[in-house]
Parts: sequence; structure tokens; C-alpha cells
Amino acid sequence: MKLFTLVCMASLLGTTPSMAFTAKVKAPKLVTGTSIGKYAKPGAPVDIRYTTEHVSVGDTSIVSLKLTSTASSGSMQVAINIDKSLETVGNVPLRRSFNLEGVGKVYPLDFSVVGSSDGVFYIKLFVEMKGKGFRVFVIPVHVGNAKVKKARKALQKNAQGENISVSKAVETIKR
Amino acid sequence: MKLKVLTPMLLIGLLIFSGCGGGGSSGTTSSIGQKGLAKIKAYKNSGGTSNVPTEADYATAGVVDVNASNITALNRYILLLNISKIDTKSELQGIVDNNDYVDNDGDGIGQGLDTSPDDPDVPFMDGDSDTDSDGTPNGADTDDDNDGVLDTADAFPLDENETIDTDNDGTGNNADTDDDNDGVLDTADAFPLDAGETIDTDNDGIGNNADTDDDNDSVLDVNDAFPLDENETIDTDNDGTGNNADTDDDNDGVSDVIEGLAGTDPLNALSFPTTVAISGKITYDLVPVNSNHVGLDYTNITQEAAKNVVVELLNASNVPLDITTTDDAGDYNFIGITLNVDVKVRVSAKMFKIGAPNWDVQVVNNNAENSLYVMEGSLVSSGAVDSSRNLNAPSGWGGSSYTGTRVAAPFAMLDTINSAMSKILDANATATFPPLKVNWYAGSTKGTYYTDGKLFIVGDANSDTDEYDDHVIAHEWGHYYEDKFSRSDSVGGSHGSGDRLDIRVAFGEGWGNAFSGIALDDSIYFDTAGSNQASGFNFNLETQTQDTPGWYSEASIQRILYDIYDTNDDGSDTLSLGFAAMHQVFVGTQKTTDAYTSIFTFITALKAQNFGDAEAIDSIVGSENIAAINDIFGTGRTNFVAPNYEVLTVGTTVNVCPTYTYGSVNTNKLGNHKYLKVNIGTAESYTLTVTRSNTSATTDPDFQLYNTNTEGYSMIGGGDNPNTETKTANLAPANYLLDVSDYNAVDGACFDVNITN
Repeated sequence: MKLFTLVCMASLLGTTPSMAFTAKVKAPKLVTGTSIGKYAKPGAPVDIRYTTEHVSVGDTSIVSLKLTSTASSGSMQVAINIDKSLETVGNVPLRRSFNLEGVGKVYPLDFSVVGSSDGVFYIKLFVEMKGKGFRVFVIPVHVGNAKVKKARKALQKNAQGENISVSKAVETIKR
Repeated sequence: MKLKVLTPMLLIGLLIFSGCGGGGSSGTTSSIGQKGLAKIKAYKNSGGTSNVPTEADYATAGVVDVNASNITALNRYILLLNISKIDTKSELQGIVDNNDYVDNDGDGIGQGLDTSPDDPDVPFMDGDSDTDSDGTPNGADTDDDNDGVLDTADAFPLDENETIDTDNDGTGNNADTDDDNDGVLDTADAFPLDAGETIDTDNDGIGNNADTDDDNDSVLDVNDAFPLDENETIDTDNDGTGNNADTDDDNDGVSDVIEGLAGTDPLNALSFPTTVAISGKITYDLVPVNSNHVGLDYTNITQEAAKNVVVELLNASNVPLDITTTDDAGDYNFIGITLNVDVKVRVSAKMFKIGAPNWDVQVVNNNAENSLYVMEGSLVSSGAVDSSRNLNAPSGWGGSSYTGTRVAAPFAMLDTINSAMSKILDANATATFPPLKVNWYAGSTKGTYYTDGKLFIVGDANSDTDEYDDHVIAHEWGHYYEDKFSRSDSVGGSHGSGDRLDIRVAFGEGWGNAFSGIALDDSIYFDTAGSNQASGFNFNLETQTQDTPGWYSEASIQRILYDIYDTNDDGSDTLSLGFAAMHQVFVGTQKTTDAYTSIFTFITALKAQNFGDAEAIDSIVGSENIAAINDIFGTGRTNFVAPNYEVLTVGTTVNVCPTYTYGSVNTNKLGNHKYLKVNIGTAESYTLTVTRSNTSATTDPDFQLYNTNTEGYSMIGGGDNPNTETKTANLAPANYLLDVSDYNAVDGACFDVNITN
């Protein structure tokens, strides 16, 4: 039995797109999400709330990340990895360190990016606390026509009618 | 000095000789003289033991000047002489006249014979020899060559190196290379002194010529196709290889093993299968963790058996011809396959078994319509003989990054799950495992967690991918176990080892961590991540330092549960209950307990079921700063936010105040939820209301009413309604648990809770 309520979570759709045209987003749309309320494997006691702006290609999207932790001692190291299709505006430190100050404290990370093509691109945070583990957060940034999907090869089915993803084995045959 | 004794034959010869001898004396005189000589010779021939001559005897023989002063020396001298030297009176007289018998040097040899008449240390006579130079002439020596064998028993009395000549070929056995002259050199002859035997195959001491069972295999040589081979007695196909060593006894071209599987007669060349078998081993690339348990070690990839996975044999149209599963060694076997048809082997990332026990575990691509992962071999003819097809799932690692399909990942996760399932099967060999679907794909960032029969595992290389983090997989499977075999009241949410958690979350996560160590029998939990999966963290279930030990700490609970299980006594842990005892609690009392699932419910039941170990259990619990647990509600706790259960009766109101001292994020921290016990005695409609009772801040009260009899929720008040939440439902008589919380986590807010019918 596991019941909990999810706050608004942006859907993670599509992969890197290849579009011949771009869509104009009339006004920035806020995309919010959080790790709060989601099941999680053992790791650092840290959660995130985030807001990004869904903007057009070439427009600036403000990225607002807010980390929270119940830890009151030690420090939290944050490594930021930004998709190559997102260009940062100004000098954005990709490594940050925060001294942990306990329950209720918010550790903000705010910066801006510009998307160079349509699609959903990801900012990944590797957050580590010495002796307490780590957590990885993935924040989607929607740019232009974000629902572009790659054409996918038709799936095969097995004899039971199940879809199957087929890979090649390394095989050794002896007679 | 010893004197040799004359043999009887010589004596007879002498007597004959003396009887025939002639003399020139008159008849009477001569006859008398001969008589005296005869006695002297008889004396000589007796070796001095009889017929000792007297002075009268010499006189009778016609020898003068023999008297009392010289007769003793003369008689002794006579014994030394050759018999031929005393044939006549004149020869005797000459001895007397010449004083030959006189032994001046006292060496026992009269000077007439003494080679050194004046040297008492040389008692030799002319012609004497001394082979062994022991000072005794051979004539008087009983062991001439001093080889320890008396001359009478020595075939070579004068050769100290030889004593025996078995084959009488004149070469002593020591020098002879073939003592028994049977044509087999002694060095190769098991019986070198027996011309009738040379070999003893079974070393039973009986030569093969006399032995009726040379190899001692209990089959007489006359009936034994291999009389000299104890391992073989029959050669059905007469190919020179015994049936035991022969893999095809009847030489019909089909191996005995396959014939055994096919049910044909392996000893009959006319009986053989008309089909072939295809067998093999299924493996996957396992990337181990580094020895320091940080990061994966791609330099030490091993191929491990894919256990209990589904294997199909498909024809060219992908129609299954047969289906089976691998065993614990990853082996599979198809028999009865038509000769010379194109077939391929397909392996599904699926463990499936019906009957008792039974399971259905599969790994699917949740980025491709939940398609089941499979790997395939090539379409190749089944051939005319049995064959093997081994398939390995490659990791896809290209040396510095993943460059190929990560085929191994689903099978690595299944192997960990197989280990976890084995632990349950050890406790219950007929267990039924509810279906489990593992969702993973390369690139997945959707988190690693369990929910309702599904595992979701991250697969994002260079960031976080968990397929080889076996403790992580086992941890999440532990949630599946708790959910499907027992009961978990955890509200979930993120959590850390230093958190003070809601008791249900603390127990669920502590159990997950403990079970990862239990399932893998490895107390070191690790989780790899980062660029090339080279980073990560780990902790030892046994030794991890607790920041905030207690009944609200997942770290405390994981250690308690692991210590109860493990065989390692350390500190306050002297208990080794193993998993079966824990399993009995999980599937028994814990599943139907009237309190929320926590360390309190588990330990209470465990102590009840293992009464004799109660003290040892208390010791382990106590080491985590937890006073002895004696009831399911944790009664008596005074530290931090005690998990007190308020009692709510129909028609009354109870006021509760959630607290956020230890955090509000996820509302899964200690104090965020308030617990109430509700007893419903009559089946009818009830209305449950939770209303803000103080503060002007906007609250969002929620509640869940749980029926412990049916293990299900009877009411859930989870709307976004400000300050008041209410629900009406028909309730059956039972003990209920009520959880009240504020989604908005307004610090200081309290709520009136009432239930009416």
C-alpha cells in the first residue's frame, strides 16, 4: 500500500528532435516539477522544486531550481550538466557548494538558457553529500515544438502477442 | 683355526684305496704294518674324532721313534696332511725323522707344512687361500666370501656380490638382468624370479598367467572385453573404446546422452533418434563494482549465468518450435528438433514458472510500449547432429563508453532478482511470487523506485544507471516483497539515512536496505553514478555510523534487521535468526497487524515467535537507542515525536496537531502524520471529518482510513479542500487506523477529527 499525492510534474516527452521548422511560443509557459512526493532509492536527503520557461527557439528560458534538505551539517556539492542544445546566458558556474543549514533552508540555483532547436532538452544535477550519498535530478527545458518525436521502428511481437525489443546476442555454435 | 671334515665318500675312497694298496713287506709283517697304517688313515679320515693312533699303532705300522713326547704333535700333524702323504710307512717315518710335526711357532701347523714355521701369526699351509681376507683359510672358513651366506648355501661362495643364480645360467642374480631367464628383463618383470609370470595388472600378487581376473574388476578375463582395464568390460560397437569411455556406445552417430534424452537405445545401432538436440548456456556480461565499492569496474567484466530465463527455439518465421527455461547454471536444452531446419534461439528477459513455486518476472522497455527485452542468436540449420548454441548478452561497453546496445542490462537485473527470490524460496519452497515488471531503458531518468508490482530503474549512462547496482535493485525488490508478501503502510517520498522519518517510511526503507544485504549476503550497499559510472557512494549495513539513531531512522532499522538475520556476531548482536524467522513475521502477523507497519509491529511479532531470543533481540534494538519493544504501537516512547495513537470513538472529537520539526518536504518526516485508532462495531454509514481548529493559515487536511481486517482503505480524504476534509462511506465492523496530515504542512495548525454515524 503506497499512496501519496504528486504535485505538477512536467511530462518528459520525446528526445532530441530534427525538425525542418520551428514553432513560435507566444508567451513563455511555466513548466514546474519536483522530486517531492515521489518514491526514491536510498540517497542524499535532498529534494528539488524547479521552474523552467517553455520558450521559442532562440529565446531565453529562465531556469529556477530550489534544493531543500533536512541535513543540518556538512555541505552539498552540486554538479550541473546542461544539454548542448541549451546555451547558458552569462557565466553559469557548473559546480556549486552549499553549507547545509537544516530543515526549511532552500538552496537556490537560478540561471538562464537559450534553446537552439525545437525539443525537450535536459539539465542534469548531480547532488552529493559526503557520507549521505547522492541524488540525480533531471530538469526538462521545453523549446519551441517540444513534442517532436523520433520516428521509431515498428516493434516486433512474440508468439504471445507481446511487444518485444530485440537485440543481437553474441553467439557461439558448436556441433 | 677350524679343520674341514672329510666327506663320507672320500673316506670310502680312501678305504678302497688302502685296501688295494700293495707293500713290499712279508705277508705277516706286512699285514700287521698295513693294519697300523689303516688305523692312522682312519684317524685322519675321521678328522681326528676317532681311531686316535697310539704309540703302539705307529709301532705296528713300522714307524719308530714315536713316543709319549711327540705323539700328540704327530697326530695333530697327521690331520693336516693330505691322505696321500701317509700312504706308506716310509712316508710316516720320514715325517718323524724330519720332525715335520714339530710346531715351533705354536700356530698349530707343523713345520713340515707351515709356510712360516717361525711366525705364529701366519698359520697357513702351502696351497691355503683366504678369499675374504678374514684371516681364516678358505678351507677352514664357513663363509669364504664373507657375504653373510654360508658357503653351503651360497651358489657363489667365493663371490661376495652373488649368492643366488635362479636360472642357473652361471650369472648371479645380482649381475643377471633377467634372473629367471624368461626373456623379460627384471626391471620390467613383476615376477623376476618366476619364469612363468611377468605381469600382475591388478597387483593382487597373482601373475596374469595364473590370475583369472587380471584387472580385478570382478568380470572373469574370459568374459572381459578389456581384461587388463578395470574400468572397462564391454565394447558394444567393437571400436576399441570401452562403453564407459565411449560417448557413442553403439556407434550409431548419436551420443549416448542424447539417446538417453530421446529415449532410444544407446546400445543398439539400429535404435537412434531421428531428430537432434540443441543445448547451450545463456550468459550476460556482469560489470562489477570496484573493490572500494565506488564506481563500476569495466576492466573486470565477467560472463554470468542467466538463471531461470525463458528460452525459445524459433523457426525462420519466428514461430516457436519449443520453449524452456535455463537452470541455475544458465543451461538450456531442446530435444526432438527436426534435422536440418533453420532455427534460432531467442532469450527473453523474463523468468517464468508455473506450479509451485511460481513466478513471472520480466524486464520491459518502458520507452517502447513496454516491450519485453529479448536477445537472439542467428538463424542457422539445426544440422544432422546435436549442437550447442551459447548466447551471451554483451554489456555494450566499448572501452571508454557504451558504444553498443546494452543487451546485458535486463539480464543483470533479473539475476539480482533471482538472488532475492532464492532467499524467499529458502524460507518457503512453494512460494507464489505475484507478477513483477521491471521497467528500464538506456537513457531512462525516471527514477529508481517500486510501485504496485513494478520496478522502475534508471538507465542514464554518465549520470545514473542502476542495472549493475545490485543492492539498489535488491532494495527495490524488498519493497515489492513487503508490498506483495506482507504489508507496507509507507507513504513513500524521498528519504535519507540522517532523516527522522515517519515510522512507516523508516521501516520500509530500512527494510529495503537490510534486504539488499540479506538477498546478496553482502553487507556493503553501493550505488554507482556519474561519468562512466565511476562515482557513487556506499555504506556498510553493519558499521554505518548513525547520525540520529532511533525508531524513526531507516539507518537504525536496516542495521537491526540485518543483525537479526546475519551470522556475524558484533557488538550487541549475538543473534543469527536467518531469514526464515523474519519471513514468518512478514507473511504472518505483520500483514494483519492492528498498527501501522513499523519497527514496533515487526519486533513485537518477532519476539513473540522467537520467545527464547527476546533478550538478544532487545540487545540489538537497544544498540540503536531504542528501548525494548513490547507492543505494536510503540507505547511508552517519550523521545522526539512519539508515535502515539489517539483513540477516536464514534460521536466524539479528537484534536491532533501534526508537527514539522524534522521537515515537511514529502510530508513523510516524523510528526507529519498523526495516527488514530477507530473501532467500528456496527455496519452502517459513517461520516469522517477533519477540520482546522486553529490558525488563520490555509490548510489542506487529508486523511486515510485503513481497515486492518481487509488490508484496504475504506475512506480516503485526499482532496484539495481548504481547511476541511470530509467523507462518508459504509463501514464494516473492524479495527481501523486513521492517518491525518496537512498537505500544506502549516506549522502549528491543529485539526478536529470526528466520526459520526
